[in-house]
Amino acid sequence: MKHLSDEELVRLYVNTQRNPYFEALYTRYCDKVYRKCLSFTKNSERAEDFTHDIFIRVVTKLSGFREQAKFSTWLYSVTYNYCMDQLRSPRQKEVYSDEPYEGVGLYDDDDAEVAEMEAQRLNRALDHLTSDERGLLMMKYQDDISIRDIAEAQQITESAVKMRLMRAKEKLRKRYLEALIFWVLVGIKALTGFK
Amino acid sequence: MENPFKLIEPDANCPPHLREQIVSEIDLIRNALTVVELYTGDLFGAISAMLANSSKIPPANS
Repeated sequence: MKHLSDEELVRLYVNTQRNPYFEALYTRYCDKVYRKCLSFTKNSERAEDFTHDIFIRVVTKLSGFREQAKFSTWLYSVTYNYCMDQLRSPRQKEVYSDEPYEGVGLYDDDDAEVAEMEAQRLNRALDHLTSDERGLLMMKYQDDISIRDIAEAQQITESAVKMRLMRAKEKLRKRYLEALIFWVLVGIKALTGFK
Repeated sequence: MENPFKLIEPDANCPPHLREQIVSEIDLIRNALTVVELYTGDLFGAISAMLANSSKIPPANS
């Protein structure tokens, strides 16, 4: 079954309802999905529960997969949507507005700033973001999902995706710099303390 | 420079027992749907057959 593409496996599963086709897809993606859930939950048991629910959801939705995007993109969208829904606080929904706000320019695709961040600090800074913000950034920068596909998965417009991404990036940058300054100050304090 | 988002992805593996759980649950869902389909299909079939037959039966006093 290794020679079959993901999309062929989906078609075969939908037409025959035979488990081996689904199991082949599961084998290809279970670790990826589990790791994404783990990134969100930071808890292996919860990540396991999320992975279970996501694959059950995927099976029930497979017949609706229209092959407009790659299967992997579709699966990651289902994964992110599930994790974001589960971890979203009730208050968070009210906060969203896709209107540009003062102090932030238009969306640019210059990701040099993101590329310069140090991984561990980035990870800690991400913990301060909401699940929606984290999900958006991970879709864009970890899985290289296009703005169009993110918009489709989130059922919002492309400009709304760009606006939300820009805000999330701005917030991430602030948190990252705060942490960086904190550790620099701790370092200076430690050095002057030793003298 | 490597994208730091790619570096922060955990390297844990999905627990192996999850596959059996998921596959057995899929079987359960599929079986449940088959049963529902079978019974509702038969029920409608039986009702329509009954109605079709009752329209063919002539009134008793004729």
